[in-house]
Amino acid sequence: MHRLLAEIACTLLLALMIASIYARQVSITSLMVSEIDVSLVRFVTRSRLFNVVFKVSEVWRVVEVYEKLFNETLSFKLLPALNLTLAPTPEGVRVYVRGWSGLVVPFVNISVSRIRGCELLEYGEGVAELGYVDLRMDYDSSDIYVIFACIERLYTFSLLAPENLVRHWYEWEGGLVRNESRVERVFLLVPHYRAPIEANFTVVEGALDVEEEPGTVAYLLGVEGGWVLVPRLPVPYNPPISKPRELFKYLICDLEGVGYALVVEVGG
Amino acid sequence: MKALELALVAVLLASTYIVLSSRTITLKLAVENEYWALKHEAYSLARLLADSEILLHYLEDGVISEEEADAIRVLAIALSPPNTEMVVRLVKEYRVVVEVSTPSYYDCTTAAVGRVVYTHPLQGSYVIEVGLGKV
Repeated sequence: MHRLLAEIACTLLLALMIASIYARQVSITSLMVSEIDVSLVRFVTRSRLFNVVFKVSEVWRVVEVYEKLFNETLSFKLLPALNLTLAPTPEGVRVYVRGWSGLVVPFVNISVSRIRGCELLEYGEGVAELGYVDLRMDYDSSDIYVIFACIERLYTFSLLAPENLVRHWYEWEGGLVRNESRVERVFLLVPHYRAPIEANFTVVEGALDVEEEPGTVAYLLGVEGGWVLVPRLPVPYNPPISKPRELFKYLICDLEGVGYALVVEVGG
Repeated sequence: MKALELALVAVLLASTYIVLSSRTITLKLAVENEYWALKHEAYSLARLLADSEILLHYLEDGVISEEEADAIRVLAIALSPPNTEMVVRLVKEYRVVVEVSTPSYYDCTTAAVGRVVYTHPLQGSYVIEVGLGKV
């Protein structure tokens, strides 16, 4: 009797051991891989990133979904469709144009506005035939530079401004600017125009309701003691988390009829 | 004891089967996810090319020269996602007007295609087809 029981126990133990080895193997090698991929799919579904054309509020919603639910499992970047960089040269400035794969995008029309306060100091334009264009204008890191790139109707832009001038006061849910100090004048930055344009605004519940022009990408607010820049889009959004790229897709952000091309990179 | 031995053999076979099939399923899932991501990327690039009218700019005279095809290839490669192979086709009335691709596109193990119809007021409708793949 004892012998039979011992044999049964041994057999059960053996079976249990084999089962546990296989279960561990299954859980480690297979399920982890699927889990990572599922979070990418869930992020795209929840943020409605399967669309291509987005309104301003929808772009902000994507960022909000990422920050609330996926900032630990995924990496996320929202950038202009082209990699636009500006470098000072002895003769002026040079604007480099690349795709995000690092390759040269040929024949891109480039314009750069140099703005101080609400005034246009300098404007330059040219064609980046082989990945760069030289423009005759001074470089001062305390000024705002609006770089605008277009190929036919592919429009994209990059705003370069010192950190101390940038305020994140745009409330995307209501489309209002929640100012923290008294605003005297408001100008709009529209990359299609050379200079900032003055805009009318009304005060609604302590916030500014600005009458935007089509294609407005940022506001210049005249506050006590100077001017501040309030971006309308969360671009560039580039948190330090870096994971292998899983998705790279273009978005077209529609700003009252003017579509700007952006790029989304999601890593998992 | 015979029954126990048989049960043990059954457990062994079942667990081997589960492990093998789960590995196959994982592989399929990975391919499925890669295909899913490529499809999103291809469609967004096709939509970008259509909305920006970049390709149609080359068709103003109705003919695509070798130089223009090269320019389209350079542009499409620069805009395509990093580390992917691509093909761009412009189709009008079931006829391929332009086809440009990277050399390894047809060696890809996974590829997805995105299609967009663009209607030009004067030149009619075109289908812009973008294929992206990974070797």
